[in-house]
Amino acid sequence: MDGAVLQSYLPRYVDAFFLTVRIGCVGIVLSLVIGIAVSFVMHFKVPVFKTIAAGYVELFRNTPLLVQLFFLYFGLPKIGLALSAESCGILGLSLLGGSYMAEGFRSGLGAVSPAQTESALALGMTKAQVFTSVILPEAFTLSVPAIVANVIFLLKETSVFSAISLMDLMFTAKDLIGLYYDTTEALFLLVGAYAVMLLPVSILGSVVEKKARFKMFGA
Amino acid sequence: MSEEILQVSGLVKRYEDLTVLDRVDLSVRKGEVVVIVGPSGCGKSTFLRCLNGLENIQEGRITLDGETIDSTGAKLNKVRERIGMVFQSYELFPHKTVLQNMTLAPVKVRGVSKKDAEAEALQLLERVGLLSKKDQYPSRLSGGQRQRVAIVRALMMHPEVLLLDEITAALDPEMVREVLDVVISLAKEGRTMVIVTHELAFARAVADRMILLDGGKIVEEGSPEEFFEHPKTERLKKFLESFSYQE
Repeated sequence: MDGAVLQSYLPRYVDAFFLTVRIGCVGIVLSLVIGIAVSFVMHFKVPVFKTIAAGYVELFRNTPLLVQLFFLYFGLPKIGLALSAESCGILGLSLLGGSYMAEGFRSGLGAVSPAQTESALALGMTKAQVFTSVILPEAFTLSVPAIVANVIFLLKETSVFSAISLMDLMFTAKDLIGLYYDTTEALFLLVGAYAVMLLPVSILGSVVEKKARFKMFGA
Repeated sequence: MSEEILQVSGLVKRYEDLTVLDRVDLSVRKGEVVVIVGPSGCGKSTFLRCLNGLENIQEGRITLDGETIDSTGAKLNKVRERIGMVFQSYELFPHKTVLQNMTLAPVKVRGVSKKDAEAEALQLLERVGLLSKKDQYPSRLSGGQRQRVAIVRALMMHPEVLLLDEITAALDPEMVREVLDVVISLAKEGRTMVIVTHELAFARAVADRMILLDGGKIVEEGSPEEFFEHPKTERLKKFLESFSYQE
């Protein structure tokens, strides 16, 4: 491995790293918003909307992100809706993530025992108070492991963005290999960049998970 | 004797074809402790749940101080403020500390200030010997401790009637006592309670009136002495015998 090559590549990787992180973060925040909204619709079985929500979740959980991106990037312009590559990336990640997050939150909501609701009702609380003060915080705590797993999964999924010519980490590596054939250095930096991005998330995630579990189950 | 506070008349509860409660009548006076015993599946827990509007009923009427308890009514939460209930499985809120468990409903529902609610909670915790656990999460407490917290959590709402649904059924034998002692002290201070239990010795100690429920009907009722010493019905004799290991 050539140190001088690594050094010369580094600035491009730094740019790509921040692009990937930016799209990843915005996508994850939006996927949380979509996920919460969709999980509420499914939990409360809102007529009509619950069918739409179920269709959405099944569609996006059962198709690859790459295919979704192609659809957004190459398909939408055909109906007159041309989005930038970055917008497509964010939108694709949000929609994919939203479907996974929705399932995560929904299972958390479903895991709160009905007896918890009854005991809160027995204290004279209204249904709305029970939901916001008891069910929601409990469900959220129960959903933490799923959310952490989804965040890591989504950050890794960003590696397909290169297919719609976003200059992310994967794109940069492929581009440099194509130009200079320094495969080892290019791939080394690629692996390193993803590790730098994901290790802190993973560590932070397990700390949060542990805290949540300790609170709820004492161990 | 003082006035009636809780009245049940002609209560019928059905699950589809199965009649769980079959025209049950009961009236509870202020300060009275009524203990309901009976075999598993006799409907005693369902009966308590009806009293709190947790079950919808098919016929009959339940009133608290003249106010109807209707599981479909809009004002159900207002009536529930006045009837406390403690469950077999404690049902503390796992994401809240002991103190937060106790102050949640008084602050949200009764509009008590957090400071006042906490002061009252600390007093109650001291009374049941759990002051040192105030900042613990329920998962760090033993079953007996959790159940004592559940009882004082219900008391925080100043209920006029307290319903206890087999509150020691899930506990280790050694922890049963610490919970029942709390209930006995509540009885002594004149709390109105309707208790479902399998602990006959405790029932005898705490009850003003005993009821045997079987097949969804009240089979026999009377003072603890009549009930345990001079059972009138064969059903009650048989029920009491099943608890005795003597020849």
